[in-house]
Amino acid sequence: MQLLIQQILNGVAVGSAYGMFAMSFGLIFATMGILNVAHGAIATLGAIGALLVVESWGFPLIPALLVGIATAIIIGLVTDRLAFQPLRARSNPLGYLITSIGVWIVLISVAETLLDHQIKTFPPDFVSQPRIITSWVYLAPGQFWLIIVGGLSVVGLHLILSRTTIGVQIRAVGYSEVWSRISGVSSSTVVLSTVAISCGLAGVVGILSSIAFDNVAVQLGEGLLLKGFAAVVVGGFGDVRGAFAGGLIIGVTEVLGAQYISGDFRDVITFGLLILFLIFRPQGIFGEVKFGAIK
Amino acid sequence: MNGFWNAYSANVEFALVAALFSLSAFLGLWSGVLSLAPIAFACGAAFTSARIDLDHPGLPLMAHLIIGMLVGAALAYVSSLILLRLDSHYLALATIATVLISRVIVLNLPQYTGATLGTPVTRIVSTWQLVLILSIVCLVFNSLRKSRFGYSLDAVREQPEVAASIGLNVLKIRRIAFVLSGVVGGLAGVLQSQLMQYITPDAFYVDLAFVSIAAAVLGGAYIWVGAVVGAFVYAALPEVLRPFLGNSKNIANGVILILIMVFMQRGLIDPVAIKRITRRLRNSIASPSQQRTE
Repeated sequence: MQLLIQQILNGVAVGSAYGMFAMSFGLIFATMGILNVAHGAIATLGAIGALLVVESWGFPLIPALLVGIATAIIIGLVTDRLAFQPLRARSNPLGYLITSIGVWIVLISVAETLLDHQIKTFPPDFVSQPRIITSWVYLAPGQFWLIIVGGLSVVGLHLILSRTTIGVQIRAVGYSEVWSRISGVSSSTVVLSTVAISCGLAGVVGILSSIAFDNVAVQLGEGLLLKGFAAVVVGGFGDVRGAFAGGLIIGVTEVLGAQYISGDFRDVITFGLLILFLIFRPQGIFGEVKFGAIK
Repeated sequence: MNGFWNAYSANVEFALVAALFSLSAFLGLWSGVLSLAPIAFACGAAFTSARIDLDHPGLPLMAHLIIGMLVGAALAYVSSLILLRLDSHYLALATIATVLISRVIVLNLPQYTGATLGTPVTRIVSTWQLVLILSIVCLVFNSLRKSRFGYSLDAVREQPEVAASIGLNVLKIRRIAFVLSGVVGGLAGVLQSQLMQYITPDAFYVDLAFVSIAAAVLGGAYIWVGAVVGAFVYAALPEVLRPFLGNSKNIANGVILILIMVFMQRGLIDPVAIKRITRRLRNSIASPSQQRTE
């Protein structure tokens, strides 16, 4: 029983990371129709940005976090402006995918150069509080923050999208770019804010999970991308709450599967779920919310 | 020339196989399907061939190629039953998932694949055989292009609804193209494993899949020549750029891909543009005065 609770908590922590990433990845896809394979690299670069200022100038947690988020947002805006913006006039989803492969190659190479082809870690005890140790469970600080920030970000993002003007505009553009423009929505503002929110969140996930899993490496972003993508499919593209729940489901199933079935089959379970959902319920568990693309 | 060959023979050989990979990706695009799955079929074919080679050493190359193509076709057929039920984006995602799953399967069958340790492969293919195989495949593609099937592929790609309304069975045509991409993928997988002489689960993974599809689109996704040209350009670029860029050649690869998508969206070899240019040339030769008045 104790083991079960511990593993569920571990699963929730991992799942929060997947869920946050899924929200940021899904937001771009739902609003702009870009299936951005470079998004994982943006998370990695956010973590690298934070790591560099910690290593060089000994920044404490919060400023380092802000630097990492800013790095991710800037990279996201620059790639959007240079690579995706020129394609927006023509409607070609294939073009977006290929372009994002190009962006992915560039960002991965930059990340590898910055990391000097090594796997680095944040200094030990960079985040030391709060560590939760009881006779029942153990939760490392990284895990703790993943769960807390994950919960806050899903609530926050949902409130932004449902209650604020910009959120309504983002959803409107996702539904129909033409009709939202007719009603006076500026699609360039929407694109800018979507990219900023999404990449900022990716940066947060990158930093927190590299602290929780104790590595800063290119593989971190790749793992997030694959699992986040699975989470988006399981939870559905239309709603951030769905994407986050998808992440939790994937995280918990994965950890429990590794514990009770076989560690080797960890990924079989994840991607098996992915295929099952794609076939039987491609709109995700939480139903269909129509999404469209800026054309 | 000899010096060049000594320095670059390995690159040329890999480029020949890369052309096969991007041809297999092109087959999907030709039927209007963005599919990364041929890499998964290549993976299955390569590990099967490697296993058979360990159990029955000394089989001729032809036997391995046929095994590869059969395994590729069988895997493609089975997965087409599931994958082709999906549409556009979801289909592309599911084919990426197929590649991910293929790696998981390889990792979980250690008695057949050696899991993370991988499997050694004896190389029996020579360079001229690679050239021959690629030429034959190209000939097949070329005759497909002007065939009834080739035209139906064009129709299905451009306007599936219209194609269906003139009596083409879109699903069936896509399925045939999918299985053919499995055949070419299986062939490429076996040859790739021979060139690498040692295959691990990472040998056939998303990066190879991305590069194959990127090469096909870079060369021009509207004609098979594009896939071959794209693969060669993609293989040659890092070598050409090495003196200028050193280790950042990958960055150049990515940048060039983005530039091509932004400025030449139809790729390097575009049949429509070529037709337009040749028509203009022919016109200007035939009646220069008329050309001027236009």
